[in-house]
Amino acid sequence: MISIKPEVCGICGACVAICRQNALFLFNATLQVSGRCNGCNVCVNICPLGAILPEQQKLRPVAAATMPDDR
Amino acid sequence: MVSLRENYDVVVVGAGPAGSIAARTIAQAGNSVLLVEKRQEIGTPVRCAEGVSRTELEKFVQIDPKWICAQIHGYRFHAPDGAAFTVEPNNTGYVLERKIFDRDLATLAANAGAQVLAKTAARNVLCNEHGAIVGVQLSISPDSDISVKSKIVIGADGVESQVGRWAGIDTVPRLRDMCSGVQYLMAGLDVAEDICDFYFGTQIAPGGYLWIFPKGKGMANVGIGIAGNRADKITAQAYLDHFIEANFPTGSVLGVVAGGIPLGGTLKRIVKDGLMLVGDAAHQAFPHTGGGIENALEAGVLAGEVAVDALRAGDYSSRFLEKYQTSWHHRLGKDMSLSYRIKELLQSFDDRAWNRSAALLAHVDAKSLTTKEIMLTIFKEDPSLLLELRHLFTRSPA
Repeated sequence: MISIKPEVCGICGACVAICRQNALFLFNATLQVSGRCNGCNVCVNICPLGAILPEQQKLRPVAAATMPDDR
Repeated sequence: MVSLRENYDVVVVGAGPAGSIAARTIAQAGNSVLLVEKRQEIGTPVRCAEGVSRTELEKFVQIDPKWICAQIHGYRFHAPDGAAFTVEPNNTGYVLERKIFDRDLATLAANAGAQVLAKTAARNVLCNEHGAIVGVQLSISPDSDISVKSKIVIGADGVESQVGRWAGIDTVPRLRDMCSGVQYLMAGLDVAEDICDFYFGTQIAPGGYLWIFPKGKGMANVGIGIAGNRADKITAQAYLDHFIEANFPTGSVLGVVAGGIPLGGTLKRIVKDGLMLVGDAAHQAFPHTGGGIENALEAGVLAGEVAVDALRAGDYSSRFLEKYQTSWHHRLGKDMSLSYRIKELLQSFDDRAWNRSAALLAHVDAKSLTTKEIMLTIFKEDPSLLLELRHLFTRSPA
């Protein structure tokens, strides 16, 4: 899933418009991402301010596998 | 807080120019209208370069001098190598103060009898068992939603439009048809007060252009729009910053607005049972300029008039509401598809093509230059561009 830098986001909605998954939305003057995000990263490209960080696919499974209590 | 009714004839979602003028048109005819805006204050933040033509604007509203920051008499186009040509149409242009303009349009709607409510977001549309849209779900506070029924919903909720999506309309543009834009309101600039400047080039604004729209007293909107499919490595803001470092290193930035503009041309479907989409929500800005204020007003009035007829006839089916879609295409369909083809051609220009075109046009009298003249000049004098133009006019838009 992508992540959003709220301090950079201009709340313009360009990413919302381009998201085919309908995973992004503006609510209470903030940009929010839902679990529908499939990490296609189109929003990363369209963001005029560079406020969206791409999904880093391999990080999460590796981190989960090395968690000692995760059994 | 004001109290809402359970039922309105029409709910309009979004109080930009399209939504407000639609609401006014419908309320003027004596119908009940609720106009909701999710932002705290109508008109801010502005997401627009604020340029309009006087003759277009005065078709829809009586122009209030308070809206006008600058009167524009020339448009200057700059190629990457510095060559430039100027167009001086008879028709005066305005750079608006959208903050005031938008609020005044919403006020006109309110004065016509519409109930206007800011800081009220639509959360969903209400559907009946046949899939027709029969109202909206509104968020009036963080933990309470209410349902408001209506005979017709008008989605005027801008580039990030959700109303169309909730109703099952495909609103997602192709990446190449989406403009990635950012604009600074700058002060302390030494710029012409009555000329808008446009800069082109693959290193300046790939697939788009950079603009300087004066707002008087040394202020200007300095902005950029680049093609979405060419924004993957460098952001629009980085291109803009690069230009500003070179041209206005000591200027001040009073405001920053980001924005996206759908440039694919009008959506295939802009009506459904009980629903019409207008403005950016319907992708009605001109693809080659990204200009959308006048088109939004046109669409708002057309949709408003069809809503009035539909209420009179008691028929809110898509078959009836298609009158809006038909009259929109009748009025602007040809212009929109030509505009799309020009956008596609301009996106394909490399720096050499820009330099050559500007060099040819630099010698033409500014007063005689129209879009058609520009096309014809390039057409006549440069065989290689002639081929590109022939390509342009023989290919149907994607």
